[in-house]
Amino acid sequence: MLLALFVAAGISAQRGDQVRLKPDTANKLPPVSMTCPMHPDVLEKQPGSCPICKMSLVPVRLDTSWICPIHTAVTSEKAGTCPICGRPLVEARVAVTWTCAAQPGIDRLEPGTCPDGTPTQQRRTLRPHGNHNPQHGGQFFMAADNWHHVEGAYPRAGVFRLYLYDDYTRPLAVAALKNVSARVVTNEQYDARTRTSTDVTAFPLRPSPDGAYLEARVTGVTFPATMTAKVKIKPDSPEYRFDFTFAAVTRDPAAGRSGRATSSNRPAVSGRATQSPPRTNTTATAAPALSGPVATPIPDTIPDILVLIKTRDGEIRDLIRQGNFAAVWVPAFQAKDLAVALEPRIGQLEPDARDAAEPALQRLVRFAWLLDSVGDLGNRQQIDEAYAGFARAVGDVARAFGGVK
Amino acid sequence: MSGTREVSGIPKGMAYRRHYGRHKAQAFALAIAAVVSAWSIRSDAHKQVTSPFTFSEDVLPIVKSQCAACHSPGGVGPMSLLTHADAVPWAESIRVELMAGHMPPWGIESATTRFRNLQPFSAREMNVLLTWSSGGTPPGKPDAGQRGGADLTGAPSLTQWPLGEPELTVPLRQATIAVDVQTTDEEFRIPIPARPLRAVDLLPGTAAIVRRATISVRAMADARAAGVTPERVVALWVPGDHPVPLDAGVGFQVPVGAELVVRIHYQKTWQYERRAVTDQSRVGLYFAEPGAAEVQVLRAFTPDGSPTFMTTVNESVRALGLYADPNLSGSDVTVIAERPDGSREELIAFRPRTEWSRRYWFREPILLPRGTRIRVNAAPEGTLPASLSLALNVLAGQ
Repeated sequence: MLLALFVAAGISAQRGDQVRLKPDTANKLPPVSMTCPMHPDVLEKQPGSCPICKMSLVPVRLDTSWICPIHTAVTSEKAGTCPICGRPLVEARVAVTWTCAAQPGIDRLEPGTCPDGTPTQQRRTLRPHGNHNPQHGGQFFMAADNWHHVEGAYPRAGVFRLYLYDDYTRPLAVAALKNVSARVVTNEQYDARTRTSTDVTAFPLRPSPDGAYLEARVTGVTFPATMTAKVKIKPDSPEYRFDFTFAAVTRDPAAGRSGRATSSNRPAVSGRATQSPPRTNTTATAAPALSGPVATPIPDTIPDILVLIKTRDGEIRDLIRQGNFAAVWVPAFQAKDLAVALEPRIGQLEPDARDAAEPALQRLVRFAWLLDSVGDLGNRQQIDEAYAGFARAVGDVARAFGGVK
Repeated sequence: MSGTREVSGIPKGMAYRRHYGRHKAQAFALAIAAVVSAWSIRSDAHKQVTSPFTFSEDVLPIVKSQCAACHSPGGVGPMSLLTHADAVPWAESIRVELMAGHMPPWGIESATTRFRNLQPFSAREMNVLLTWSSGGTPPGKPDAGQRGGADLTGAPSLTQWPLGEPELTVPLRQATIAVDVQTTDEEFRIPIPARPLRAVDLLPGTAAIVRRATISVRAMADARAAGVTPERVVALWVPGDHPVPLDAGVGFQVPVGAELVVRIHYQKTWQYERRAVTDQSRVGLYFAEPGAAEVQVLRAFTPDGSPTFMTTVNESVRALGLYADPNLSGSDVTVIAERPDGSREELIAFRPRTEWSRRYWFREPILLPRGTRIRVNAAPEGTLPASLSLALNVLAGQ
């Protein structure tokens, strides 16, 4: 069934040029955007060609849907739980089309009537990168090729599993899995001068009999367990590294209802799609909130703003230590909004502090965005480097503004 | 070295990274939808526009003041960013360049306010550009709309002298970059009068290909034999820099019979590939009054590649500015003055880049009493070349 849906997505793209675009004001349909068949991130309002590959853009109606992270065929227009496994639904990006029960090959951009006279039915198809949720209770990252995704799980003591997905978070085909060469490294030596790592203890990852995942037996692991999957998707691909941290064994929600939602290992990558940002101990008094997805209150005084920046910095440090890289963007964005709010107050500083504050605030903003950018990729080295720059900027900001009462 | 790759500065695989930002934008949309409420917002959130900043209202003013010296029609940047249609295809590239600290290209870690020729690039501006390029690139009010049809009001001029009309303007000979050549270096020699100089500037004829230039005063052979400094840099020209004249009463000395040596590095952007392009730049001279105090050079260097090196000031001087020699390119460099009274002052923290080699003029001259040690710390990205050096422009006396 899933496959049928995805095939339908392709049809929708190909048929796009036959569809006449109508104004969207008449009804509540999601508006039509123009997208590239090869580069789904390209979204324009007008027909034209893809700025990357020059292919003609095709129309698509984009919407968000609630889907089950495990049973992605389950879609809903509102929050709820999966009727199959009971897991809370998460939001994902979908394309909306209309089809006919008797002829599922029909895939239109507008609702209407089927050849047999019945009304068309809405179909909601997952978009690439619409689902960044772990499927097996593990930790989910995107490869730097922006196409593949991986999930690392530690289902029981001494067993590391690596699930590989494509850009729709569909499991990689068995044939493709055979091309993957990967190992899991539990101990390595890092040479800061050459910026390279050498494996000390590594275990080969081998395909499971059913081709659903790669697995390795690992020894000498204690919690919290940190391990690194080093993966070549194809023989000629670059090697990607994904750094996993497991506080305990992971539980696969598909294996039973007991694992859902309460799993301590459920990373915030899904939280980011479904929930408000992680709880923070904001003690600020009433203050205007910034507009934006992770709006943070801006206190009135410099010392209060500094306290919040340091709190966000601590949260980032903790998230990185826990290996929860994908959640780092929330406190990082809050910190940079606070830094932007500090900037107009530079004038209250002594000249020397002013000189130190100006570049430090700019660096704080820059590294916050960098943390956001590398957060999803799961490479601890990149995250650590971005965080080092961020933490230094926070320190410089704190020193520059520290003298203000 | 491929000119296209060099100029664009876009890391390999940039195109692949493009939709990452969009994906993130989508995550914002999801977060908004989840936090605020469900359906009411949905039809708007679909656009994946999460940036409250629009091109016309927020981005364009920043682009004009920070980027347009290069990224304008006919500019040396490989793309204009002055209309929404021009800028949108480069949104992910803008993100990558800003996050990497590659653009703006001045590599400065110190406060820009400490220098005469640096323009501040604020936390707010950084955030606006990154939010817009990550968050769906909303256009705001319609602009000229057509590529190249940019509104240049308020953008720097490519055809006027920033310091005003020079006292002496010297056209250089015409240079042609052949069809099959991407980059080339040309040297021009101009005899000049023996009058001290306050400033020397360059005005490109074809701005799109004039990538950088070094302008030096070279003494005649017999003067060199007599011990006169053979060649002294008077200007490091890069597009987008703000030329700074020396203060009144100060000048670069020009010995009798000296010539001006202008070395221009030409580079074609991808728009000019497989085309022959010609340039006829002009050099503008601004003279100081006779008897002006002479700008001297104090050089710190290491012959052995050690990343920390220093020089000691023999006579009290005032430091006016400094520049890194090309061998320091790519290192994080800090220069600290350690005075005999024990006080320390960081003169600059920066990351010099060969292709953006320029001088940093201090806002106020910095007193370096006799015995001051100038310590240079270079933290290299890879291995350092065998010898490193850095030059300070100084004036003798307190």
